Amino acid sequence: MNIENTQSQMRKGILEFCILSIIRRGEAYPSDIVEEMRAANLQILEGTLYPLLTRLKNAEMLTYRWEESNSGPPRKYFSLTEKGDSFYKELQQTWEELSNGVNALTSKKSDEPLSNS
Amino acid sequence: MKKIININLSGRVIPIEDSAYEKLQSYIESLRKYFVNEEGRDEIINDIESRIAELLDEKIRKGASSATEADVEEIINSMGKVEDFEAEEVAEAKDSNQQSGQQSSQQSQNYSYTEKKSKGRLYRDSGDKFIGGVCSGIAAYMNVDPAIVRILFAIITFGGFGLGFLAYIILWIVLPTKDLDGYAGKRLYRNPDDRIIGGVAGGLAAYFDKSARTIRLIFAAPLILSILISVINNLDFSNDLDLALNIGFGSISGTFILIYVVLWMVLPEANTNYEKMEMRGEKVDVNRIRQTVQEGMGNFKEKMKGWGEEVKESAQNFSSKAKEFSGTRGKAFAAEVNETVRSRGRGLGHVIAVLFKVFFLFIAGTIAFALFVGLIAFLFGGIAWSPVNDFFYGRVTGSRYMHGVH
Repeated sequence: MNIENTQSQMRKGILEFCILSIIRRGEAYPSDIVEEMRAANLQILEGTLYPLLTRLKNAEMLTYRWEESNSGPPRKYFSLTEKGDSFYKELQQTWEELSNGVNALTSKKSDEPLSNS
Repeated sequence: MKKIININLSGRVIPIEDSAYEKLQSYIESLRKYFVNEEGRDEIINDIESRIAELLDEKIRKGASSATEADVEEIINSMGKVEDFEAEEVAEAKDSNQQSGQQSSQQSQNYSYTEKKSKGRLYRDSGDKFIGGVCSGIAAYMNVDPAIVRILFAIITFGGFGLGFLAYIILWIVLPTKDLDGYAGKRLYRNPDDRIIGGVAGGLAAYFDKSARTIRLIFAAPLILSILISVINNLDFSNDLDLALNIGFGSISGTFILIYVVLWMVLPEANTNYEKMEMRGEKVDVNRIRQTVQEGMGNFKEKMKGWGEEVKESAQNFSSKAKEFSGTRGKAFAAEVNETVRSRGRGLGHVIAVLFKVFFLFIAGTIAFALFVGLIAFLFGGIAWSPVNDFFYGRVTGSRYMHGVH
């Protein structure tokens, strides 16, 4: 059992949820997603974001369009599909249940008795 | 003083230092290897490449004259190295591949990526394959250059009546596949920058750090000698000794030509700079290779003996494994094979293409050589038939020679 392993599993579970929620607010360019995640103190490597986006795109959760940029070749801007949107909503529900449950559990004080005893 | 080159990365022209370029190249190569089993690999690599291009372009537009090694380093760090991905994807690896999952959970984080090799187990290498990845897997297992294993297999196939081919098929069926991060050292390639026929001599020259001319001379010498001797022989009919010499050199030249053809077929061409660096072995200590080669020559007999025992041992292991296999793992494996066959329709096409290429090269090589011999025979008139005889004789003894050599 090592701590990095458990931490990375925790983080990995919410990664897709976070990315979808950023894209849901409006079309996003991958490096903007990274910026936003970092600003929220959620570390992600840009190199792991691309495969994740490609996977989500191949699963028809995301779609993208090319946008001409004023310098050089066009950029890929990602947006949510309908399928992605309902996927996101399910994730959101799960997240709320999870975070409420976990918060309720972890915020209990040590002198509180176990509920079943 | 630094050399600056212009590269075109995703449609942008970027001036970059030569050393920075090498670094970038090997980074992208490592990504390519890492994502080898990923469905959208090319798309991912393209996205990452164009993002890197954008970042580098930004640096240039801010006034830098060229992208430096530090710039590339910075970008690689922000994109993440392959070993960082691994740390992030531990959980997934565990789900999809039990073996590698077990491995990574046992490993502490400061293990470097290259040390994560699956030592001690034999796999087929899905990341570096010519046909089915068998040779490359064996090479990774023994930590040698895959080209050497491929050459041995080719020799066993040509000299042993297709025995190598049979062994290959069996291994192909039996071994599970895995993307191995195999041998990282000097590798044998054909050198496209220094070629007369197929670049084989050029590649060997780069590998052994000799001049290509020397290698070519070694290849050509027996042939030239046999022709010379046959000429002399025809001038002086009374000498029987020369005839023996002639046959000797003739068969050697046949062997060398066969070796050349085999190497031509088996060795990949060093096309990218990364491969060229591998070919020249720039990351490896040259002394180590020299030592390995000398050792190999010196203790050859002992090694063969030891190797024989090892083979015997592994054969015994294998038979017990086979029993276990047919008992427990059989069903699971059969399902896997089924799936592989289904999902690898394209792979099968590739195999056929490769086999076709191999046969084509072999036939083309044979025809070319026959024409060459015909030309010689024509040049020296009716009297100089011996090179032709030597050729046929050489082909037969060729295999015997190779058994002697290896």
